[in-house]
Amino acid sequence: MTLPHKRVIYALFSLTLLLLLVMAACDLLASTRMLPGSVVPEPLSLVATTLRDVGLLLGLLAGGIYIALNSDPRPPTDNLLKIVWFHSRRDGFLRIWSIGLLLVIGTSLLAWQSSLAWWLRLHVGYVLMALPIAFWLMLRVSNVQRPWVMRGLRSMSIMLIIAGVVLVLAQVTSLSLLLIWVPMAYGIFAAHSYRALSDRNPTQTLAAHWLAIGVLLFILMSVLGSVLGLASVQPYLVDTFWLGLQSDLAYYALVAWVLALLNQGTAELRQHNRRVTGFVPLWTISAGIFGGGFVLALMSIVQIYGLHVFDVPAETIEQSLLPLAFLWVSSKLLIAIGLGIYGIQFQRRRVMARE
Amino acid sequence: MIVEQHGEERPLLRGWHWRVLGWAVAIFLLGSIGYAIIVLIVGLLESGAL
Repeated sequence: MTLPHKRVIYALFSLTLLLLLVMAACDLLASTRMLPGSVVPEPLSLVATTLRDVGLLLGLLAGGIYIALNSDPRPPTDNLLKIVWFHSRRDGFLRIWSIGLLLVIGTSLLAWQSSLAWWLRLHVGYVLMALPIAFWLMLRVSNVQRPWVMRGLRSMSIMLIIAGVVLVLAQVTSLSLLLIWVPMAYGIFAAHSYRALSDRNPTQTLAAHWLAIGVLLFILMSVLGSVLGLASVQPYLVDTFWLGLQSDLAYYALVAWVLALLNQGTAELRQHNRRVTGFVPLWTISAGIFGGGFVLALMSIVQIYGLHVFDVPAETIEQSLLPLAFLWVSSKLLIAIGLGIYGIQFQRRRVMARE
Repeated sequence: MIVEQHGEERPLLRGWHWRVLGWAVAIFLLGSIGYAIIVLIVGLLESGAL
């Protein structure tokens, strides 16, 4: 990898992290709107979700470019776009990644108008971009061989595309028993990735840990998504946070994989087999994500019983959610603090170049 | 084999724009954390939980 290429990829990693930090700050500010006395304007939550999409897309783009720069054979050009184009037709990882990229671009054009396109981008587009990065990272952190990884990537891509399409279609039509495929597919993926995650090579980075957190979040999302997709459950989801929780779990799983990539990629650019970021941000962010998810589920249960079972007025429900709102803001605070520590460690162990 | 390397090590990304961007994000993040902590404490005090 040439020095200008290193500079571009490291700039992409850094910009991704900066966007995720701004996203965490906006998300935290937006969450305080549930507390009395907050003066945060409503559009901030829209800014936070937009930043989450941009940060995630930039991270996934960086992942594809980084894989292309590390692939053999090297094409006779230094142009990054030409290198990515060259490998997207030959390399198994980048072929699936580029299909995901095209799908994300296509659905993003429609996502402003259609919620189906928005869900398709999340459950199929982003997943197709992230899956090759996750499998490629498995090659870097474990003793598994490339043919095993390629076979796994191909079969898991097909399974998770079907699962994503089922999740999206469940929003408009009744699929009942077909929904069982979603947790099954993600369960098979988790079992598949266990082989790589349990047979580690001497790599010191925490990429495997971030990958495992992403897998756990995807499993939770798949179970929740299949239950929420049931036609008998959907009338109870109106005016509750359930669908927000489902999308949050999927987004944070993808963000965890991007953080895995930043860990591994930066360590390789530094040419030191050492951690770039440590266990403190890992546990702080995980506690924020899993704790926040649990609190959001509790709030949604209160909303379901209050609004749809006991017909309690919405204002009364809002008051009863206040104690949980404190925990919700605390979970966002943990994520922001964790990402802040991640950023400090990323900066402290920055890539140096000899010139 | 010892390979002699010339030149000094410098950060791969340098320049005033990276510094400004980094500091701006750090200040915004710290500000939002501080604001959230204040709103949390005020809310807890008002609700009588503390």
